[in-house]
Amino acid sequence: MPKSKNTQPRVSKFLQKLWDAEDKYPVMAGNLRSFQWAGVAVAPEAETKRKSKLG
Amino acid sequence: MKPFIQPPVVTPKGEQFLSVSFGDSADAERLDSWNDARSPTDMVNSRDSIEFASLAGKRWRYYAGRAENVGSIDELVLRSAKGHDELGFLLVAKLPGSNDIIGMAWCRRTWCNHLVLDFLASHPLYDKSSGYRRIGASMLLALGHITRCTKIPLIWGEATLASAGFYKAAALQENKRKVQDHFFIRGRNLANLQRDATPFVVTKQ
Repeated sequence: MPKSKNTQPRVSKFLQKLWDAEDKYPVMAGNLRSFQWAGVAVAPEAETKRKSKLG
Repeated sequence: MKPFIQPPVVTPKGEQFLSVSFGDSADAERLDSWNDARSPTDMVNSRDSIEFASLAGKRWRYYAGRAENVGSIDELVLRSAKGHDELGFLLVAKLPGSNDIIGMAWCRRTWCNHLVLDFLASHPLYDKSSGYRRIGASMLLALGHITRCTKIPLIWGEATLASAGFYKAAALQENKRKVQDHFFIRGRNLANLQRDATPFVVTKQ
C-alpha cells in the first residue's frame, strides 16, 4: 500500500500545477505515424518479401 | 502484476488510488479493447488515444518476441546495469477491483540510459467529462519513480497538438522554453516528479 494511505501528504506546488494543467489539456505523447514501423515489426516476412523483390 | 505506485485520482465515486504496474501479455492484448471506446465530447483526442494504445500493444509484442522487454523495476535496474541494451516496457493503470486499463504508457530505456516516452494516453471514456481526473499526471509520477530507481536523468517524448498545452502549462519544459512537438523532462522538473511520486510508492511486503 502507498505510504500515504492513512495520512494524505500535502500537495506540492509542482504536483498541483500538473493536476491543473491536466484539467485544461489532455496528457498524451506519441507519434501517430508509427503504424508503419509497427506494421513491419509485427510482420518481418513482409520485409523479407520486399528485399527479395529488390533482388 | 502488482502495482508499484498508487497515486490518487478523482473519480465519480470520489478520490481513489490508481494502481500503476508493469504490463504483461494480457494487458498488451487488453489495450485493443480501447478500440470500442469513443468519447462523445472529444473525438480527435479519443482517436489519438486509441491509436497510441494499439501501437503500444504492438510494440510490447515486438519487444517481447526479442526478449527486450522488462516486467518490473527490479528487472529494469538489473538489466540496465549490465550495459547499453535498449529495453522496452509497458505501464498500465487500473482502478481498485477492476481489470480495465484506464491509463497506459509504452517507454524505452535507450542505450545511454534515457527514457523515451513513445506512447502515453488515458482511456477515452475515463476523461474529465465523465468525472475522471489526474490519470495522466499519475502516469508521469510513475515514470518519475522509475527514473529515480534507475538513475535515468532524462525523459523525452513527442507532444501532440492538443497535449503540447499540458507540457507547457505544467512547466515541464526546462527554462520556460516553448513546447512544440517535443519535450524534455530533466533537472529540477524531473527531481520534482521523483519527489512527488515517493509518497505514493507501494512499499515492498
